[in-house]
Amino acid sequence: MKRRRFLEMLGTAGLCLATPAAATSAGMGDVRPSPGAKGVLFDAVRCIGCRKCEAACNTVNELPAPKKPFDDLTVLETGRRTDAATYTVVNRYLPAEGAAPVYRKIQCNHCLEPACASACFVKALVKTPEGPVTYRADLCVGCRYCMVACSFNIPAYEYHSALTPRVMKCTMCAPRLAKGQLPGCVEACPKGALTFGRRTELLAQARERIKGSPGLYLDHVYGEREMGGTSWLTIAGVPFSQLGMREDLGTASAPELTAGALAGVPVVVGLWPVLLTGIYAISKRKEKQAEAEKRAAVAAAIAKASAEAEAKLSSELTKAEVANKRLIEIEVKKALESAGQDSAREES
Amino acid sequence: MHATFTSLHDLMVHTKGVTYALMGLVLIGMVGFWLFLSGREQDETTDDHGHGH
Amino acid sequence: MSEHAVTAKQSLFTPFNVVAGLIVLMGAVLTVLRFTGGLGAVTNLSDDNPWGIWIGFDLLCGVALAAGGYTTSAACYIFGFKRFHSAVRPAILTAFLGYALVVFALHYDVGRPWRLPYPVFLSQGTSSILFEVGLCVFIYLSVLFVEYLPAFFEWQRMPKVRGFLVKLTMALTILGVVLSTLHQSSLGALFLIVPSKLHPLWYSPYLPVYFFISSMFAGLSMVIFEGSLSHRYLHHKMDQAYTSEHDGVMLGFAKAASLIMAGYLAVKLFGLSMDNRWSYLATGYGAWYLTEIIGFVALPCYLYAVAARDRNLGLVKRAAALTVIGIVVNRFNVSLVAFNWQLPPEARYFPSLGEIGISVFVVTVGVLAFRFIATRMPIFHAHPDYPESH
Repeated sequence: MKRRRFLEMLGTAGLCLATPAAATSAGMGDVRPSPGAKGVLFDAVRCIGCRKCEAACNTVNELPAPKKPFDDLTVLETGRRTDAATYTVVNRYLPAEGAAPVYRKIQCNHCLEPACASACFVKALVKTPEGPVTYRADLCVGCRYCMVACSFNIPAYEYHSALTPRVMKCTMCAPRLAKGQLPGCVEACPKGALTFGRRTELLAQARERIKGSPGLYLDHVYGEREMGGTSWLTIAGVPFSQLGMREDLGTASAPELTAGALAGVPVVVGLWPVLLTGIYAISKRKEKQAEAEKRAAVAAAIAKASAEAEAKLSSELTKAEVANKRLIEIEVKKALESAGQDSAREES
Repeated sequence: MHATFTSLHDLMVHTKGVTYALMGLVLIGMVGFWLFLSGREQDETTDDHGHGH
Repeated sequence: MSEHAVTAKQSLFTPFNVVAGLIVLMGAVLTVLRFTGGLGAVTNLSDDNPWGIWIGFDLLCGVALAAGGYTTSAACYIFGFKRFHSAVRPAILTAFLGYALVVFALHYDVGRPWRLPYPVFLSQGTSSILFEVGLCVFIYLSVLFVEYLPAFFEWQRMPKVRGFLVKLTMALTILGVVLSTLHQSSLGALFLIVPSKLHPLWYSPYLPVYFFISSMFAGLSMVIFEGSLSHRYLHHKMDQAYTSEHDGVMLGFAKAASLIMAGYLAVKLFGLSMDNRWSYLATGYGAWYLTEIIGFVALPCYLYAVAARDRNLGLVKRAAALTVIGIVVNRFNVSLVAFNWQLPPEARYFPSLGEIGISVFVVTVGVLAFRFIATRMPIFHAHPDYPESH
């Protein structure tokens, strides 16, 4: 997939010399995912929609109090998403008529290759080796490309802050993790629907649960490969599409999606000046040639004209000479004649 | 030089950063190289025109 | 400065000035609202729709339509079409003002505009396509400024600085084409990261190529369009060379635009077939896609061709206007209409009056700045001291 996309990129720009860049974009040799990276496993089969995680998240992150209290479960009747005051929400889904409701917790999935971090042009979003994707408000310009880039529609923005708007999203409680504490939501869950741990171990645990109760779970760990994999994993008993989760995201990560275009940049910088200077030199040379030809033609025309003029002149000159001679002859003749007449008159 | 990265994203930030710096140098270098490449030719063409190339 | 005396004689309250004044006043009010109440006070932006018309129109269309600067100077200085010479200065000025306005408009859109230099000078997020766009726009704006400066120094009669700057023309032109290639294409590449949000008919690995190629005919059409407007309203500022070359430039640009549009259509077609998107053509989005392609690309491409063959200047202008509208349609489709196409209708974005107001205000500021400069500095006419330079 990645390779195909890259080759397409190459073809598009006609930049066939970019091939070495393919090795770089696929150069996973230097990338070693941190083995200790943490994650959370969410089990939709165990979740009862009590919103205790929402309440804990609100407290732990010191977010503003919501309009309706967290024990008011009527909010579950409408679908919600994360916003500037809410890092996590639990939604209720009714997979089929009359079927029991299923709940799903929504928050940042902490992608292994986060699209938001890949999109951020000031490195305000960072994938830490410990697992969480964190945000630095002191760098953020507020372009909101991270929100455009996120396939899960997670980051939210403080649209009503005039001077210090921030991008708001779950941090997996990175500050708490640093102190050795659990994420707020995980700690508050009364049903064990949230499990915190090493991602590798969580994956194993998820597979065990699926294997242990095949009737209860579908055989898929959402987040194992989606968008290149996420630190937050989800297992459920109904198809994920019925829980409002996209199943068409593919496995290509954000850096892979943009690698081709980014690989084209240095090729343009390297070769465009060569190409353009070449075209310039050719057009300049043609111009010079045309000028030289023009000059030569003019010179030839002048030479021809002057030669003709000279020829004409000389012929005119000869003509004039002949005419002159004749004139002289006539004059001489006349003189002689008149002299003869004079002498004859004298004789008579 | 053989630093390891924990994500492809980190690797890309690093490699693209180095490449951007190199791109700047190359662009400046190209001007210099062009001047070197065509420096003499310019003199020739000005005093004797139509010289066969 | 004699121009001042001339304009002072006319009443300041021409219909144009009154309308422009009202728009600027409205812009001022909206500016206060925006920077006291935040983006939420004037826009319809939401967490699902973080980019509205300030990106879709002011940034994407603004940059595409300012492409006349690099296309015209490349045609004249690199490809050696000397007959386009008189068109270079107006095109450079339009491009410079266009980019300056894009950056100006961005100050409204981003949350903390005073941090806009951060990506270049403080913390370089080099993995981001937007970093590439920002860096290129920053450098290219400087390049355009330097390219425009000779006109300023001729006006101010400072021949030495002017002479030095003119020597840089070739290098600046090439750098301008490199930077334009990069950021025009990167604006399309911005959307490569969201195959899940952009409709398959508009999402393609070729997005950067589409944006780059369409920027070329967008720029050419904008030069024609802007030239015909200037011809009508700033005719008294034009010299013999400009007016006599004007028709030739228009026809040459029409032919070039038509050819490039044909290439664009070809690549668009290949894009559909490479990703096997045919089935989407039979849907509602497909009908709109075909409208864009046939009505706003194929049709003006044909009209340009007919106009160039018949040497029909009226048709050239109409084709240019249609092409410019087509570019706006395309950029709106990619950034707004086909973006988030899977969201339910109530979650979709539609611009607020405040957003439209700021966009109109930005365009008005551009027109006023263009008029101010073109009536004072040697843009449409050569400076009497430098008859050859123009």
